[in-house]
Amino acid sequence: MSIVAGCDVGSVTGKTVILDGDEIISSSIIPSRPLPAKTAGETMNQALEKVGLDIKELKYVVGTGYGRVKIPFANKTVSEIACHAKGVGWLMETAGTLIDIGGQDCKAIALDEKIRGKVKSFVMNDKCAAGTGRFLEVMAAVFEIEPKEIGPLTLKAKKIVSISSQCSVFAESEVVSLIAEENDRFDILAGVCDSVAGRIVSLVGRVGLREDVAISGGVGKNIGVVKAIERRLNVELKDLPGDPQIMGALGAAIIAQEICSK
Amino acid sequence: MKTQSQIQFRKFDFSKKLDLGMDLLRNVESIVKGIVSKRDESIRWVFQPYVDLIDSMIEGAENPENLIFHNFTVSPELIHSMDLMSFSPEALSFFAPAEYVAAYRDCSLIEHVPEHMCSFLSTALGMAVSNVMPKPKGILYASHPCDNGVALGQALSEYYRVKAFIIDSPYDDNKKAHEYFAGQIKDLFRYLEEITGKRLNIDRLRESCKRSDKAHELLYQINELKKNKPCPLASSAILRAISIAMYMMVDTEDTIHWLERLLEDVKQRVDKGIGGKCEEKMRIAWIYTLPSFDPAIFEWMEEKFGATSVIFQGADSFYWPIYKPIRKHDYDYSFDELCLILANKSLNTPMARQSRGHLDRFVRDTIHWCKEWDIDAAIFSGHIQCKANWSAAQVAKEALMDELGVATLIHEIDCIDPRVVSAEQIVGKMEPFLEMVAENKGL
Repeated sequence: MSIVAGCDVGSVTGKTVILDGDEIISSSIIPSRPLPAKTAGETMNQALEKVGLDIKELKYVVGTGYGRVKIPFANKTVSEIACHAKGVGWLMETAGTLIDIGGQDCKAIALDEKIRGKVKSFVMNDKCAAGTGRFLEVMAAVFEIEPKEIGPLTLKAKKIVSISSQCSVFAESEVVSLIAEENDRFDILAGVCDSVAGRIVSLVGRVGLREDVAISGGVGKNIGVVKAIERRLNVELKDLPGDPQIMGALGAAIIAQEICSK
Repeated sequence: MKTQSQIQFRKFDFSKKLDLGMDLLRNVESIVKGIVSKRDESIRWVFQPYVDLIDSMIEGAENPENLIFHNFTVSPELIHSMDLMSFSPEALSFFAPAEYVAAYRDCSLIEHVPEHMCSFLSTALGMAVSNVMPKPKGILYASHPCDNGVALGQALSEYYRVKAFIIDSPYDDNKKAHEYFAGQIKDLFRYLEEITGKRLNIDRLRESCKRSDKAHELLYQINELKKNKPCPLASSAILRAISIAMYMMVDTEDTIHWLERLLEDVKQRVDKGIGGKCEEKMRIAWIYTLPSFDPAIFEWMEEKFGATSVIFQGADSFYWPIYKPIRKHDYDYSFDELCLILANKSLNTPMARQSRGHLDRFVRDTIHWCKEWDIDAAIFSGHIQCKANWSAAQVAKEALMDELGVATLIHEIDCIDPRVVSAEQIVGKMEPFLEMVAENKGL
């Protein structure tokens, strides 16, 4: 088994996972820079430094994410859908449906019943910011909080204030109006998370829900969105034994390992 | 080690100020013939329909007293049999460079065309209001494949102050429906006689239909040969050329000669086992429209995945068996019978057939193609305005998976305006899909 890496350059963060055999020996998450190549270089360097490795010691690197074609050191590129499925399938054998909510898109992925981490079908929304991390960023800005604060605050909500606008721009105006009407901020934030959940649930319906259901991507860390999805799907999302945000990079690293093993 | 594709997608500059009042037809002629002339001489003939159509449009523009505008689903036999010249504004939209498509589309917005209208139609209206198309003698549009086509016909009619005839297509696809449409065709001939002062010549109509039949028969044989592996006709450019020939010039001697040559070429390729430029690893069906603004999308598919575009709705559903009331070897059909034959043809051209009536027709046709041509994956790409087809897309996807285990990608495009969805965005959606198909095939 070799030392390999996966590098996921997303719209909001860059992630790297380094595998030694089937052990994760290092990982890194950094905010994305304007240039994907710079993001890739920085996240890779950070992950390498943690374990005192040089990039030349990596036998193979698979790049993924929207900036994958700009990763200068990638031997191969694979789409993030295949990588997220591979990463989640590797960590959770029973996963049947994967919800991936990233910074600028969201996907519902049906996983193969027989082969772990294999994509059976998928649908994605990449035409607008609704149902994505970007939507949550915009809403966080309205409340002058960090996006990561949204989830915990929704746990204090007494009810869900419905956000009827799907478009982020219109939803922003709607939320401003709801604040002006003196609705409770926790209730509005619960509505924001419910709005994201509504988008992703419609995608899940199109690929067909099969348990167990897992969530990956940065928004997978948002407890408010997770709870809203659970409520709408009437299923419990299974906790991944790992950071949901690095699933793409992990899957890329696993693919790199598979290539080296051939 | 670098294994990534080096294919570059086209870059467009939409910031340039363009002369929208230029001689667009001559400009397009120069571009199309320039591109064809750069091809190797041995394959130049393959692109002949592009050249023939441009030539016929220019000839039509020079003879406006005989010029009839029509949308692409109105069969040209109806026009040619009256010794008139057909001119499809949407075809000119297809030929126009993407930067001009964008500019003419923007012009059309001034004329209150909704911006969600597909660019084939809105560009045509923009070209009209920019005075780059000749004023026609008549305008023929159909209620299939979409309401927006009817709206375009009406808008052109108002703009040019030319009376239009909108042929009404039936919802159903049975004998009664065909008889109704045949009646519409008779009304259409009366309209043409009224506005041009010409009289329908039955013998001329008979000859036109006869040539059209021949073209359909040749295409049938070509498409049957596409069942071979590797597919002997693995080029999106040829699929589009077939589409142009069959939609716009199906009843001409030139089209028959071209199809005969194409058939011979395809036969030879089958005998020699020749496919496309890359090894065929998976067979793709474009079950609706396809992006035409950047051929690099198809090169990328072929190079990266060995994905051969075998089926394209716009080139593959012309050959459905042509209805003949009574089989006559001497082709001595009466006027009523010819109108029924034309009704059948018109209602069974691509889009006219699938975008009309119950969505089951779209679904069953899709399953037929994927089954008979042993397709590995289907792609539904279409403009969001095509509401009838979008309603069928998910049903077709589920049916293909249930009945054949064939996966389908559904995504939005505009065929000729890359501003709606760019080549990079299209490829971004296709890549995970084709990865999945490749993995399922064990590639």
